[in-house]
Amino acid sequence: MVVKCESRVSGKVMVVKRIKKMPSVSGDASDEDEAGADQGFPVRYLREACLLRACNHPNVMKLEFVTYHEGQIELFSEFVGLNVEDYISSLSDEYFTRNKQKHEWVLQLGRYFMKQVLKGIDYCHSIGILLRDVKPRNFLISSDGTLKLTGFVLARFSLLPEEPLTQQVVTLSYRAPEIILGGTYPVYTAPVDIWSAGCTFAEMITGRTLFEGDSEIGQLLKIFKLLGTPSDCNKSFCFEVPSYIELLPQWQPQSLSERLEGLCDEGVDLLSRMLLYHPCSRITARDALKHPYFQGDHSLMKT
Amino acid sequence: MTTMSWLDPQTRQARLLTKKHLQEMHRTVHGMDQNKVDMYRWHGCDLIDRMSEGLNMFRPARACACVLFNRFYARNGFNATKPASWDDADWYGFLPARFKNLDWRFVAISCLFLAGKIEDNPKKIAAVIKCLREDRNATADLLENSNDLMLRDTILAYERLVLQMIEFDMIVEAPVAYNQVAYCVRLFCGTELPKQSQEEDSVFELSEHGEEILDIAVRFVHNSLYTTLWLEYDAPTIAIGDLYFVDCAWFG
Repeated sequence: MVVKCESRVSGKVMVVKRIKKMPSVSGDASDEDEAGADQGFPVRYLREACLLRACNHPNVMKLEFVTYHEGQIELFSEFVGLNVEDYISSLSDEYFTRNKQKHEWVLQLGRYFMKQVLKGIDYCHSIGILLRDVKPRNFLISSDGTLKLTGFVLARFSLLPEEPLTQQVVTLSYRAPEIILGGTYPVYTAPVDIWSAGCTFAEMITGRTLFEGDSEIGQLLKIFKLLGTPSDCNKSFCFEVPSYIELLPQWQPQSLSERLEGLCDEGVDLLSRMLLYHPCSRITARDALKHPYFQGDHSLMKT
Repeated sequence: MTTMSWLDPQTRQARLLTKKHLQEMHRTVHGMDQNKVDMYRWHGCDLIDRMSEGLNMFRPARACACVLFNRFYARNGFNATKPASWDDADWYGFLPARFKNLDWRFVAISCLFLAGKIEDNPKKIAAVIKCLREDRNATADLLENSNDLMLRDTILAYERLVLQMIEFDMIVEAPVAYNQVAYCVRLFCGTELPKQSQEEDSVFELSEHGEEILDIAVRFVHNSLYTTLWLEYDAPTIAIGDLYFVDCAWFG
């Protein structure tokens, strides 16, 4: 349950996320299964709480404090506003058709937001947090146009290689190919966030999800259809891929500029660098911020 | 990526303690001799050590638990009956009736339980209790007349207490130090093997001394967890200091 509230002490407007825990089993049951029913503070929210508290950046949502009473957890964070996904769907089709003045505005807005998205991701990577869930729904827009990164439920501390990482991360439409192809315990690190950021970028420009698959294999087909089937799979993904990939049809890469109507050449170049198959050759968040697409003064035009 | 610190530079100063604070801690916080404080600390970390071995947990979780334990006891006395900042009224009824006073053993256990969750290595609480029952030396008097359910409630209550005491500030750098030390050793003693092809990442081979130095260095990090070092410095500082120490010992 999410509630908006105002602090009586500081006058700040905050958002409270209230999580009810499962009622703990009490009574005289001495069964071992029942003793194991309640696992204390849920791992998801523990992660979110401790990672958000470690962050201190204008593009990352600020967590004010956490309370934990018997069976109820409350996360108090600053009030931001609408998320990007809802914002996009609130705009009419007119904004996303070519050669309209409103479309021009959307392109500017996309650049303005994308810069902040990359700043937030760069900050998290620099202090060693792997986000693993970058998507428009996890970006909140504040009233002064600042984008705030949130959704740290799936994030984790580091790139420590000691334990295997799990496959069940990142919403399917934004999942990078190396996670889909990697089997039960794929090897991946920071570039998966860049892939998701690229999908977010395209969604902000076109108003539609870039790759919308209904299953993992469907997702893969959607990706290959646009970006072309890689000719030498093992070489393009830097690890062993399952053999069924040889059976897929051989698509030629389509031009991204056709798909992203009206986007300038630099923007298309940036996006194509963010959507490279090989994780090591994918652009990093810091390099992306230095890309010519973001050079110069791009203040937001009023509508 | 290997040499980074979790601490945000802006909040680093607020999070770490000063040397003076640490030196006077045994008087101001614990109210007993330095030796006795050290003994309690050693026993706490030792219990974590044995439990994590029994539970088959990874090294990062163990390191994290030790630091959490030390952080908790930077604010509370080892022989206190209740947390320092709590009123009697709050404290009364917080724990199940069997365990009235604050106990460092339960703090250590709940720190381990919590660290497992933070470091992606969670253990079922039933497994923790089972392991606790097997470890009879330290905890025999705790286990008398207590069933699993009571122990579970106690551990969960302590978990809540630890979370509130350290104010959800659970960024622990210790696990990274292992990597950082390995990275530094590789820089000093490693020789790069010739690359087989362009695509491969470079492979390093340690010299004979290198492996021994790495072994000693890792043990140093391991032992540093028994001290308050982690409350005072951040991970890169400790990793580099550790390496300097090992080099001094090695080369005389």
